[in-house]
Amino acid sequence: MPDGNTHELSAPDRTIEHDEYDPLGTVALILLYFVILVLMWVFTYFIEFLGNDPTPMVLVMA
Amino acid sequence: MSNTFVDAFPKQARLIRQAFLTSFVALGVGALFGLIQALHRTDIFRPIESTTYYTVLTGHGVFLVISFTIFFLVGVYQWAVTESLEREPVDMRFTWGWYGLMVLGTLLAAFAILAGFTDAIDVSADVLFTFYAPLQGHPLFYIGLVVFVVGTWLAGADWFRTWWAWKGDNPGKRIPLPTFMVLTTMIMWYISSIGVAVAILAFILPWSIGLVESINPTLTRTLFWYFGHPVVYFWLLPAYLLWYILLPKLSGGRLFSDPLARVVFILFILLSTPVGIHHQYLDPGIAEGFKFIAMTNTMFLLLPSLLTAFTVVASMEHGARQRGGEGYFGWLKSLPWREPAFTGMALAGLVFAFGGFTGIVNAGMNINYLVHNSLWVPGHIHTQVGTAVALTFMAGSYWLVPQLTGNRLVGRSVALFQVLLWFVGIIFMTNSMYRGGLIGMPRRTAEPQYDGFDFEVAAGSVGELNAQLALGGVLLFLSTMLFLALMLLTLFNHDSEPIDERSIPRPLSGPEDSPPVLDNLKLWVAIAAVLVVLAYSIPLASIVSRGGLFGPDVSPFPVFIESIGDARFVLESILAGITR
Amino acid sequence: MRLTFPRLLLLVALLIVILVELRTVLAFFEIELPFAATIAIGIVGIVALLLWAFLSNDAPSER
Repeated sequence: MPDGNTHELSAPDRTIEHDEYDPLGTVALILLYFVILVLMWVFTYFIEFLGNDPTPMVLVMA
Repeated sequence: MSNTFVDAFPKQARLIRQAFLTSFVALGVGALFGLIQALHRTDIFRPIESTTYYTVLTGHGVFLVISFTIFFLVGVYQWAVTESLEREPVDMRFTWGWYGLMVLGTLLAAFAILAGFTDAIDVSADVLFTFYAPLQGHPLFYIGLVVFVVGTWLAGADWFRTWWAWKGDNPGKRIPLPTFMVLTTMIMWYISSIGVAVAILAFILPWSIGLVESINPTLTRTLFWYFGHPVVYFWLLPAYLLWYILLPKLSGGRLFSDPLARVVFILFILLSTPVGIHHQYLDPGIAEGFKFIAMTNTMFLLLPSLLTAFTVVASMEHGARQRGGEGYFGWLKSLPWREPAFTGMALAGLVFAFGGFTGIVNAGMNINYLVHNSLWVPGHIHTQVGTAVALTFMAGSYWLVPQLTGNRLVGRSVALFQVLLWFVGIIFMTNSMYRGGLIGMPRRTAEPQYDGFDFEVAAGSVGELNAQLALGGVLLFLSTMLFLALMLLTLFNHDSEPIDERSIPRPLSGPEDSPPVLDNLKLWVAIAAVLVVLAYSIPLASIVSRGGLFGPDVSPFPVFIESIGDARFVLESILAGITR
Repeated sequence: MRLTFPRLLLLVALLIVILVELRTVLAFFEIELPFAATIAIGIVGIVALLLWAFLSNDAPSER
């Protein structure tokens, strides 16, 4: 009785050896990640520098 | 499927099951405490008094980042060493010995923390996970920590011993990758945990017993963070091991590069310790220049994580292509998303990649000031340890526990739901924490609600942030309970067989492609020692020369809340000290 | 059904996560989505995804 628990970990359809494998998808994904990281840095600039006024000068008379 | 780990190494499987059991008990208690905190600090439901909040907070920290993570680590590492060397420890009694020490240490520390819930026992240790002096807990807490750490040291010694025995039988062979990862992690742990050992044994414990009167808080804090940053890699590296060893197999492929994996672990030996001062950017008493050095080293630490991102994703892609995946992004569809072990680890990696960005923010000396000691920091911790590590451990358990019990995982679809629930829960909770931190909400505070003051929320409202945090906390708690229930059911799922066998496919680029110098562990230890001396000797010397080994007469702040009068007395004496 | 159940679950989870994070990003550029609107968009998105997945006679691709 198949219960969704019974199938095996899917075996690969074919084997790809080291020489015939170029991780192009990985490069694409990592480039995408770097683009997002850069955008996040830009975003950080907005939060830190544009979102906050300079620290006010306060003189405490002791 | 008869070729499981428990068939091959029943004695080891028993020990690892015990380690996992201890780990999961800690997870359950820690998760409950987390739920209490999420509801308490947002003022949604306060079943405990706010003074008790700090007992809960200490328990949450210690049980999750010490007990849960490290017991899981020793389980995974015992599996990795046994599996990759194909041999058992030299003396199994020694192996049970270190496990026993770790349990004893945990029980002592847990007693000291949990006794804080009752007035009947005059013991408490509400000092939080970082136990900063002059907060003072009961000596049993510190003794427990020391016993626990000694247990982990002996565990490392045991794995080295197994490896030496293997080397005697296999002269000239490369160290198998999983064992290499275990040994390098333990080297990093030996170098770094000396810091906390010295802090406790030389200063905090004698001071809490009453042998010495005073303490130098900057010194013990610095020694704590000497250990406190590498310890995050002690949590992370077993997750890395699972990503490098197990995830490629689960994806249907093979590890892309064995040499790159070795380089990554070596970089952690070298760089994880001389960075601890980046936790102390706001501490007075440490010169800016040393903080700058720590920052530079920290930025270099991004390198091994970026290498990992490449290698692990390339291994997953290899699996996807072998399963028929095509295109630049289309291959993602060919990954086995219905497999909870795979999906959990993949999502953990995704959260880690973006949580890593918040780590860069923490590590930058200038931007750190914006988020220091705010709720942002727990947000960072919960995306990194609380997801990259914890979710990987849970997902890994869905593959490992069947191997260790010989039983089939119960409820694979429920398990998939569980990891997705964690993913959604952590985003709700940490998104709120990050936003709360940016508007200055403090961390480690039972009641961050103040009369006559409103946080300036950039978007939405405080009520909304709180609701989101509490919702996330509830989802995470439910997810943990689901996970524990599935583990329990699997444990008793006799008369069944795991769907997978224990073999791990060999890497695409194997150890024969890596220069032998990578396996020269002595060399890496020596370089790491030099870096540590460079980063720490002068700051420590200047802290000691300014404040003295035992401090400028700093008296303890015992975290025993006996009566309001005492608390007022302590506050008044502090105020008197400040205004003096 | 166009998708297998596990995939559907995964896409719903990703949708929720993207919605939460995107709302934060937009808010910092002063495009504020009210709480109720966010939930409404979320529900509409999930329902659309479910309809897209179920209203189809294609056999689910096993992979």
